[in-house]
Amino acid sequence: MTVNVEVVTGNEAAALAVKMSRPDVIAAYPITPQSSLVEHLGQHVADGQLDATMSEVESEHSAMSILQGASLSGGRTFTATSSQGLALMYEPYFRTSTLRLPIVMAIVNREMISPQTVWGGPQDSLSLRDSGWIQIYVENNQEIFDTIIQAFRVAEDQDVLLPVNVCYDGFYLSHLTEPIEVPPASAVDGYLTPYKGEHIRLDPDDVMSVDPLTPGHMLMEYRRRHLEAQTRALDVIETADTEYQKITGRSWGGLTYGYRLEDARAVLVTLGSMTGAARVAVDRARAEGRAVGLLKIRSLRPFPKQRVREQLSGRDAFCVVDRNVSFGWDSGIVYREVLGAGIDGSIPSLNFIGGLGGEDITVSMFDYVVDELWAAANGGTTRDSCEWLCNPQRSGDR
Amino acid sequence: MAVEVDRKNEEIWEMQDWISPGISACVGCNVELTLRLCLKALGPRTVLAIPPGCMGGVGVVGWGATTGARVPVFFPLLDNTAAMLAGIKLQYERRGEHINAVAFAGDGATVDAGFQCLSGAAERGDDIIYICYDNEGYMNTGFQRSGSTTQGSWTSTTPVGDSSPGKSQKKKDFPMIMAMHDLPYVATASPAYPRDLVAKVQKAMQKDGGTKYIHVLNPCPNGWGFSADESIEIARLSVQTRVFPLFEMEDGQFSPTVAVKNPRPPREYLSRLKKFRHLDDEGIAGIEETVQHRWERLQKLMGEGRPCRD
Amino acid sequence: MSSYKYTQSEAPIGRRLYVLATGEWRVMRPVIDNSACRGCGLCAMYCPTCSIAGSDERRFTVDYSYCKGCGICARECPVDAIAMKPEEEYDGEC
Repeated sequence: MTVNVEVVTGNEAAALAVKMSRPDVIAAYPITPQSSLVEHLGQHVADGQLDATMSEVESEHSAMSILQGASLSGGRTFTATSSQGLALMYEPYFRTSTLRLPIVMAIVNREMISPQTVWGGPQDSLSLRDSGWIQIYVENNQEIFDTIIQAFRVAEDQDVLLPVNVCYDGFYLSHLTEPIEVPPASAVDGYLTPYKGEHIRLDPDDVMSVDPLTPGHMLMEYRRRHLEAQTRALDVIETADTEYQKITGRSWGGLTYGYRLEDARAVLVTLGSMTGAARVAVDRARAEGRAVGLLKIRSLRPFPKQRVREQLSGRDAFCVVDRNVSFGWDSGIVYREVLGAGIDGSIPSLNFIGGLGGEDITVSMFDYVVDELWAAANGGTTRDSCEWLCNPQRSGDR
Repeated sequence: MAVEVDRKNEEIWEMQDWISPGISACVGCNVELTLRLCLKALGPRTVLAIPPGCMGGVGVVGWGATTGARVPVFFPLLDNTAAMLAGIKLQYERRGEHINAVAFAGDGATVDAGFQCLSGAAERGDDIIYICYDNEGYMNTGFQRSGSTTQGSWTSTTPVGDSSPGKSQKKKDFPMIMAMHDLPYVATASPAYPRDLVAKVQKAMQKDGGTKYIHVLNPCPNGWGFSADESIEIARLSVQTRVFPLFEMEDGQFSPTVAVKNPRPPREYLSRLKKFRHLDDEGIAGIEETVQHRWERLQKLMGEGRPCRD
Repeated sequence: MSSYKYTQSEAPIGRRLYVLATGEWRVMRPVIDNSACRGCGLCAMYCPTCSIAGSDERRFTVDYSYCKGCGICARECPVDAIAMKPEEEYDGEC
């Protein structure tokens, strides 16, 4: 099988994956750091390489609304946004999942204003994690490309029928150039089958009302089915990964990804692009004889609680590094999610917050994290509050 | 004795009704009449968007597992009707299948919350037919004011008291705002002139491409304060007093469609409505002045001697 | 692949027609005097519930199933051929 290698930014990689997934309608509004993703798609259309209808909408609220109309009319659809755009989109965003529309959206993760900021971090999508969408977080450009293609398959699966977010850190990935392997179009066409939207549609040949006013007992039934669909998605995400491995040779682990985990006494839990630096710190620890491993959360929704419980049980300590905050919990969001998996409370756990607003989480910060983790694994305890990873050279008004 | 009768009316009441016969619109609601008339013109290959408001509230989108229409119908959000319809039309165009993508939206959803996406759709030339039923307020939820409420109106959020004479701001001239988007077709219509209304919907259907906009003034018996049986008469009066002139703009050309040979002063219309009962002479004069000013503006756009279609 | 059964649909949709018995709202009902009717059809055109139809002889009849008794037809009739009568006189017949 011939494979092309393309040297691309994260946004370009995403655009390539979308192009190969053959969407019908794309509607997007520019926002830093997403803009070049949509620009690349526009160029693909202009070059005749992508047969999609693109609508240059006047706001993100309309972008999601147009896609809902197209999806209800049987189309495969795609959009992308970041922080403020996602926030503006929230009104239709919530009902995309509760209408069971398999829309795929890339979120080029960016901090939420205020303070005024444009830089990368998953606060935007994590803050909306309970809106019924599937959310998968990726660490590099190859994973962006692979996961977007998988996302269409997962979303449109008749056992799921839920929209999917593919989330990647703004600037760190969107603007970073890396080589990626691109499978032939025929392989992707075989992997994705055409969308069948029979469960909800606007069609004069199959007349129904979409979203009538609903009494409570029926709403409860719809919500229960939605939760069940999220649960079924756990297996569908795994299968999508193994089937994708058959055509590309690559697996990202499905719900989670483990690195040097098998005999690890202490585990570092990560989300997104920070994983790259974390791997280096893990390798350093291993070289020094410390049995440290890494667990990368890919699927935040549905949360893989059984997998996380299995992977963290029996360890001597674990810690979560959050590039986000959970207001009111004095911790990061992923830490709270991981604790929700029901790991034995006697295992010490730590939480670190860093890298907000465009600050780096450096390898040396991860070295520090590993040191703290290892100390906790050898006679330490869970700390009540999180620790902030700050660059000591930045202080005051600089 | 046999009487020679104008048979032009017959076609409309014989046309098929595409809405459920039993919906809970108020007794005498001329929005219900307008909806049925529009659907008679549009026919079954129509996807109908009804944002939250009166027509959604009365069951046109259904309740539970039912639907209130015999065509595909859905609830957009209050503020994204035009955008959802645009997406529907774009996908159907890809399929090479024709459907009418139609909004039947209240003034709240149109001139207030949903204006942004309507303007966006109009600018992009999205091929939708947008019909606004303007009862001058958020009537379904208890008569709150909208940007389309006439100055001086009592509404539940602009109540009348010693320090408030009702709504202080003027009614948005929304048909004109939409006309300034250079759309292929913009028109005003009234349930009191059903032939004119149906002809306008049919004209909009014939326009290929671009956004078609029709603005209907629907006096509301409960919200404005008059009795149900007067429903059509009040609507007729709004036209005959030039409070709501019936015109159309087709590819940039403005023309009247219903001639008003002996216009009545607006106060004859205002005095029939409880929502204006509190107005003093100054308040009435202010409204009449606005009506006159807008009529003169429209006349300039229509030019001289343009014949009425009627 | 799917092994479970739905008792209602997976997504919020409606298929059965929603029909309210609005004829039961009536306090007054329109009664057309056929001898006075000229067959202009304005009543049928203005009826918000489309409850008035024309017969072969071009006379108009009211279908009382959904008529709400608004009185528009009586008001708009140019020859006063329609009178609004108390519903209780008709004992609920449709």
